Amino acid sequence: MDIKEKALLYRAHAGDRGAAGTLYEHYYRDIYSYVFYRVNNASTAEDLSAEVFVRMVRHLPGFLDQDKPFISWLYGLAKKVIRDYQRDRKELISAKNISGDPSNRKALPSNGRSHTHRDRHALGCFQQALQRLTDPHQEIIIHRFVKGRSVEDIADLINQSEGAVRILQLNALKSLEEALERENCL
Amino acid sequence: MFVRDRSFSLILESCLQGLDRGESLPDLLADFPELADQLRPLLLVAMASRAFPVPRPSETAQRLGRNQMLAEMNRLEIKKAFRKKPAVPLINRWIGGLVSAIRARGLTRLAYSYRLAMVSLVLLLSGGYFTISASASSQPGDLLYILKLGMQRAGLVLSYDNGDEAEQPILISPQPWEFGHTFQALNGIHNGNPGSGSGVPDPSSNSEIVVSAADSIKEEIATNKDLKDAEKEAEKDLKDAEKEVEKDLKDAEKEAEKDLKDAEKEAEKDLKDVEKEAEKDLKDVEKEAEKDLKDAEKEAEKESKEIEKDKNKTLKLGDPSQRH
Repeated sequence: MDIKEKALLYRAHAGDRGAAGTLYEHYYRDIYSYVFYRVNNASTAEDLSAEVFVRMVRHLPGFLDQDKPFISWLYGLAKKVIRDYQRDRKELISAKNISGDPSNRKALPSNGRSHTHRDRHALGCFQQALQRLTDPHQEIIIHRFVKGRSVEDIADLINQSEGAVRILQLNALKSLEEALERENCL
Repeated sequence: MFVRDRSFSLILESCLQGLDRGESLPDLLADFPELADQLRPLLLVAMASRAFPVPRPSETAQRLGRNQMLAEMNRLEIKKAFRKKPAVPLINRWIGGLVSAIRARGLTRLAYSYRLAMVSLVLLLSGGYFTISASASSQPGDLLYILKLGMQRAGLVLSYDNGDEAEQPILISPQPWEFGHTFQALNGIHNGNPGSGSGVPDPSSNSEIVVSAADSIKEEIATNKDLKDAEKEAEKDLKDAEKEVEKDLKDAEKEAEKDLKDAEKEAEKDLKDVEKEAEKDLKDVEKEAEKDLKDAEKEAEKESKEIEKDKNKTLKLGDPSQRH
């Protein structure tokens, strides 16, 4: 955690709304995309991401006593929020087809081109398959391949050794391959 | 199996890094021909996963999330402010806490500190009361007689102002040796030895001795009467003082309860204000979104009209009957 970020955190803890806003702007999209792939619904992802930041200001004093990277703690909060949401619904998040959910379609960036039906179908397949994986496997696929983080970064993020992350990555890819086959996506 | 997985995971990672560098899949697999069959599907899945886009949240949701976070900050600040500045003094808070704890959990399930304090208080009060009661019937020379004298003095202090004290009659009983002296004098009359031990009766001083003895007895009786009066008065004063303390305690309890209720009401009000603000923000955002939607619709309508116009124009140009 760099000094600038630490200063922002202390200022936010002291009630500085500007500092809290800066942290929010910096991390919101990152957290949102993670939650989006975990819950497979854009509007739910928006609500849950907002809840992550509400919890962030609530539990900030507790975090400041810890020697932990902020991003790692924030992802920890996001995981808890998702777990609480899934427990409250008392069911696993149903894997909806991405093309059938208009809010999901809105959440996908166009990158200068319109998404074809084939693109949307492929993404729907991927998301359905992702929902079949365990939480750690989902997490590694999102961080490593969707977000493009390195093994070192993920090791810091989930507080594991690089070797453990590589093994997790191998197992996650195997599971995803099986899930994609089961969903007839391959 | 674990060692194999470990080395395989390293190979997989080096292939993934090769893909990041832009190397082709066949080239990468050519480096590990014996593992190519195992590596190929995993690398394909990884490549497919990388192709999926990072989703983007809507601006409205982002703004709403920010407002929610700031509202939570407001709520925490209000809570903190209440914690920093207690509305009532510590004793009132303690009593208030005790009252609410009794109400909420009953006497048997109170916190240890409360229970200990209450038991100590009851023991102290009852012990004090019994000791004082026992001292009332004590005689000079008894251990509790000192307490009795103390109580009498306390009664005097409670009854009169400092300035008036000097003018009041002395109600304290004489010291034990004074009683002894009187009895010694009386014994001397009966034994024919009223003097300081000379052994020879002095008829001229006999009447004086009798008078002084009678005076002493009268004085003694008067003193005893005064003493009883003083005792009664002291007891009364003590009861009054106890009543006053009880009344003060009840007043403090009432005040603490009132303060607590006021604080709760204020906190509720603040929370409602924050909620209202958040609601207002939400409505504003919704209105803005609606407005944007209407604008977009209007624009689309306008565009479609223009397209229709252009179409008509083209049709007219194409119609030979319209040509000059």
